[in-house]
Amino acid sequence: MRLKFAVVILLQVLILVGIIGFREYRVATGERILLQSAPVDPRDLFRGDYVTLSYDGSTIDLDRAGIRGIVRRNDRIWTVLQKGDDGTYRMASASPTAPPGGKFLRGRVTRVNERAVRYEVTVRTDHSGERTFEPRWFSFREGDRVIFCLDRSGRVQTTIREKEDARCRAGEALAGTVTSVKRIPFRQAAVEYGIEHYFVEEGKGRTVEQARNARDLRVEVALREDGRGLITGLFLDGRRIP
Amino acid sequence: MTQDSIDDSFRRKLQREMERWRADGLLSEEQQERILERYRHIEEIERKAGSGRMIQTISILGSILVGIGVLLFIAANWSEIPRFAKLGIIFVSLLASHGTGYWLRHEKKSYPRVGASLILLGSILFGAGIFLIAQIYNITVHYPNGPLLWGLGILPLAYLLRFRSVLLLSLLALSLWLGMEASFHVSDLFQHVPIIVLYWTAGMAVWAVGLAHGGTASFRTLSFPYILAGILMTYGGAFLLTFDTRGESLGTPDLLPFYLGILVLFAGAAFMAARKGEQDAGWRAELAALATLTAGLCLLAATAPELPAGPIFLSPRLLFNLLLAAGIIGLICLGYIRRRPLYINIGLFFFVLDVAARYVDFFWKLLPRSLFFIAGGCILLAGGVFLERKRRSVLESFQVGEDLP
Repeated sequence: MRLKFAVVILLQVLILVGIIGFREYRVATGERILLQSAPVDPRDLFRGDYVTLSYDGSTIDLDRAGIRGIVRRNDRIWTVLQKGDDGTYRMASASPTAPPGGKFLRGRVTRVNERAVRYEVTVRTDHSGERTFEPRWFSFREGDRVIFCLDRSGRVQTTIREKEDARCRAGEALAGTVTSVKRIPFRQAAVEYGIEHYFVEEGKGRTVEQARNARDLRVEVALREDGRGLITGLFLDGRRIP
Repeated sequence: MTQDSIDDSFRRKLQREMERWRADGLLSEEQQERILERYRHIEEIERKAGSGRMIQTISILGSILVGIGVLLFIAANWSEIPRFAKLGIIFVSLLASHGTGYWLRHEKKSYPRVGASLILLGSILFGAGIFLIAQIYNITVHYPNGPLLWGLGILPLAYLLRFRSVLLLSLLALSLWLGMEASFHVSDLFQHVPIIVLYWTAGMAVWAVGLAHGGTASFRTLSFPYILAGILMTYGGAFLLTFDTRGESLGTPDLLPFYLGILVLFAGAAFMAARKGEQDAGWRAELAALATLTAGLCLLAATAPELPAGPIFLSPRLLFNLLLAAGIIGLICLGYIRRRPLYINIGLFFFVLDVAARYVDFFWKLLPRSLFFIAGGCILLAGGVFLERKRRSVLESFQVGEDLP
């Protein structure tokens, strides 16, 4: 009886050790790369429990990626990664089959929106001529005076109507007159890669203020050749979060 | 084990039984007194120390509290505790709790109930360990694997020690896994009805596994958790389908592998139950009803018919309502025939739940709110008194009924 009990308890210990071993094996057989995460409000980082991270490839425009067939929940999707000048990787393209080479992430479609809409807005700016943007949402009309608030990579964060006291809270501001608004329907897929959650403890010893202005979030991932990744660390403004 | 089985209820049963033996002339008054004397010291101990059940409840509560405490301690000091120390706390507390529990219960035998609770605590800590390790290493690969490993990891322990509480915990973890894994597989995120039907079908298979355990003497103690979990899943699922589910599909092809597994489990359990089953009255009817329903639900789920959005008297909702009503009556009858208080209690519970739900369905719009609540409350109170009296008389009749040849 005593021996049997010991064997059964050993099984439990082995399961726990096995989980650790599985992770260590994955990390050891993968290559460490830095992925650029889509900006999140850093205050969310220290709110406790899990942080939900999102990437360029977390939502995929199926029409633009050239994926024609029917895409359903739970389908696999592969996202090809491209190294930027700063050494971090960004998601470049997506395909329904595994790419023959290069670096890529394997994902799972969690949701498909057949009737998503994106906007293509052209503005005549006050200083740099005509420019075209793709805001996620746009409610103004042609002829309106607007201010685009842009993030570091030049994407529109928010759009506000130009008024005396109107100001962007963060990032670069660009004022201009809307010359055309195109509403383009497309098929959108939400994709999960298994690297969306990171456990952070509620902000002890760290002030929220310090992190407030930090916007550059990079995720260190151990990436295997088959496209499966595991998070090994998080960098906020170049500093590793313990 | 002996200290466990000689508890208060056994003594009371023995006393009642001996009254009858004496009436039949099998036992003299002196013999009865001598037998009772044997057990009198237990009565005294329990009077001084509180009943065995109370000790068990207190120590189980204690283990749950300690388990939560360990979790909270690690969570609250996440950044201060280095990774190795976190792992150390997990492994040391797991081994210490199992080890001490085993020692108290089986080696020293001085505190069997506390020992049992410590082993239950170890099983809770094992589950906590899985989730903490996943957090320490940021493993979010396929999260239903967590409860699956937990449930499977403590199952051998439940069988080795014949522990109902550990088995119940394992079944809880596994049913959690079933729901998580199934919602991972459905193609539409908001499809709830196929998962309810899946739980219902799985519940009947678990119930059948319980029946199969009842047949073998060495596994009989483990029959109860299976039957309890199975009946609750079965009637819970059936109850949820008595609400308006028009326009939703009963099954989806995505869940077919689950149904295949359930069918295999059910067939195996039914075979075992029929071969070695308890041969008292009613077991055939019980197994046959379960088999028919399982086959029917599997067929429905596999063909995945859309529930028609027609008028209410044509809808499957009526069918499910009738099915639940018949099921409740059937369960109470079975409980009466097979002398199972558990069946009667659960049957009455779902009867009250069903009456309350239908009352809300029909009168919510018809009556003014105040009248609705007052009338509803009065019906429930009167029903409660009536049911309690019925339940008692039925349960008491089990003892009287044993006089029959």
